[in-house]
Amino acid sequence: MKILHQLGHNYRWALDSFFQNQIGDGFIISAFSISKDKIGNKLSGYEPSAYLPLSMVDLQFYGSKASRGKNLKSYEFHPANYTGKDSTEVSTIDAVMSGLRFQENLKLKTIIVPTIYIKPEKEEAGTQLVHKINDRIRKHKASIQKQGQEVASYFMTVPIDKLSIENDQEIEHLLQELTDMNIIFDGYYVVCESDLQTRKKISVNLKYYTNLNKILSTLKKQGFQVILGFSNVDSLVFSAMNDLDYVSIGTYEVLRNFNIRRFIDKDGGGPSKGWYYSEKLLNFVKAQQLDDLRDRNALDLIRNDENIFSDAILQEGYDWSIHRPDVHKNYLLSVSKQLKKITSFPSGKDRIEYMVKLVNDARETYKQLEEDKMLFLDDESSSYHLPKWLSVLKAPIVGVSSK
Amino acid sequence: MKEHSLSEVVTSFDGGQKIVYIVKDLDGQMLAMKFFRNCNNRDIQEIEILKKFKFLPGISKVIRVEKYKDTPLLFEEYIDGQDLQDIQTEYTGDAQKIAVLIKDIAVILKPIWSKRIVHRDLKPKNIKILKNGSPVIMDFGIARDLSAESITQTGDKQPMTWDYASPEQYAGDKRAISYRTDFFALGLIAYKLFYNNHPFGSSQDEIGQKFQKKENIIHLESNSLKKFFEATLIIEPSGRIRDIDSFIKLLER
Repeated sequence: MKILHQLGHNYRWALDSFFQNQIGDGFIISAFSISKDKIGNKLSGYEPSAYLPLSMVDLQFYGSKASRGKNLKSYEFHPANYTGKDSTEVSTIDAVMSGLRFQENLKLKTIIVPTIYIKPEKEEAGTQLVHKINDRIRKHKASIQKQGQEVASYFMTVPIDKLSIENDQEIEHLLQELTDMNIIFDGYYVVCESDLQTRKKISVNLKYYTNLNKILSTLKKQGFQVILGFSNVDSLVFSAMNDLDYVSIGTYEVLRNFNIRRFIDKDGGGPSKGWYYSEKLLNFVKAQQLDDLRDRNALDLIRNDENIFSDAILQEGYDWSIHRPDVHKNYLLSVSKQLKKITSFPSGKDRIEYMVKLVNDARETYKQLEEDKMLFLDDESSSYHLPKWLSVLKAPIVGVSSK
Repeated sequence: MKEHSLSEVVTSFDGGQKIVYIVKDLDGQMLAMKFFRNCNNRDIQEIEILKKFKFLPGISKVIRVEKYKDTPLLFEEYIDGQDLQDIQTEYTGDAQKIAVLIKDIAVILKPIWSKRIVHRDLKPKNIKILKNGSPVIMDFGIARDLSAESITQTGDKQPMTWDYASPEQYAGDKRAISYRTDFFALGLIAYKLFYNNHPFGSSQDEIGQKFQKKENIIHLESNSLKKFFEATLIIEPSGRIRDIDSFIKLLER
């Protein structure tokens, strides 16, 4: 499994972490954050020959009007440039084809087929659009092959909103369309919203896990490659339970939690000191609570192993801010090491067993903090998500196999 | 009789919506003549599908369509064979024989499925076996042309034969009906031929409940059809094998 940086706000940090610290295997360039003229030119000082062969471009057609920032409009074919009534099926397919040509001209090996988001109640229209795009790509690939050129891999975008992911029948219908015999996409780029509770950074919605697992495992079973985009730390669970081809990692929360209604460039809510991702807790600890941990000599219980960024930011007196790169690079390094370790087990059973062990170890660490150090982490720093993860990991994925 | 160039009615069967007469024409050739009572769109669709695929081997061929008063009369070739239903025991426990049969059926249906038409009522009663062992698929009476109609989700119960119906037919989930509905039915036919029982229960209620609870088969005996059963007898269509050639390949030795 390959790990891709979801490039957004302050994408330089992700590029640096790749080129300087060997974190990750490639990039997903977000059109919302990076304008058309930048792609193919130097990006944060890195030559296109260095980053482009490892990149995909998410043109983010799926955003609503609220998402239409100036970068999106720099792609002249982008639906963000449509005004009022000129967004028709024909213009959408034309825009999709222009989006493909744009990526092909960049000579990308993996192409993300952009698509608009169609509300579930208009699923018939959605089905027709997917099949029309599929047919156009079939012809397109044949034409490229005829010219003797190398054909890229095409990954269709599947944007799923937080209501749809909870609707079993809707998900089943979606999967039937995506796995229809006529589909020729090489894979799918799945981006899914989760319904986060207040002061929580990780979903505790069982349906979200169950149905997203079903999507990922069904697509894999049916022979498609799968990219899980905008993925959060819960990608540890999904990677343990599925043979994913790619997962993304992201610095800011908005690059880890997909939002269908709007994209924002950076986390809101005023200045934040940020969070420390602890691989021992499988969670983010609010920066303000680190002082409590230090006071009780508990930092070593949650400290990440062999992580220079962790070492730097856990030093006493570190000036915590969500806008400091080391805070994010700590997460990128730790979670990517965990993802690599999980997927190093060839068998699904071993991957899940290892992940269950990580969760149980994390629960034990929380217990130690509480019983030995009398420290009770609250809100997003608490262990609220771990029982849910166990419930997911210990149950078989529904609907996929008769075995 | 003369009006329709017939010399004799050999026998007849009342199939509810239609009456099937086995007749002889003036040359003494046997034909199956279908008379549609209260002919509706479904009957018209059956006629259209049969006309469209009349050059395919393995389905009963349309000879001509005439009218009796305002009601269509469909003349098909007479198939001199046995209903699979009547000779099921000849297949019991014989994985090789079953694999050949189901593969032959899939090969016949491949061009039909490819045109997005679903039979929806595959069962031993609708399969005739010729003397040489080849199958002929009968009765496209509830076949559905997915490309010819608006795909709308509905809770209405669709026609089905309960012991060969798919979970999506039980659920009345019209949107979920596809070629994979026929895949499931062929999985069921193979399973029932091999084991002489239904994998999901012995009554409509029991089967319906298992489908509703999405209880896939957990234990399957190890035999040469195991992979085929695992690929077809999945309750949710998205989990079933997705393309026709792979389906056929599962049945090859």
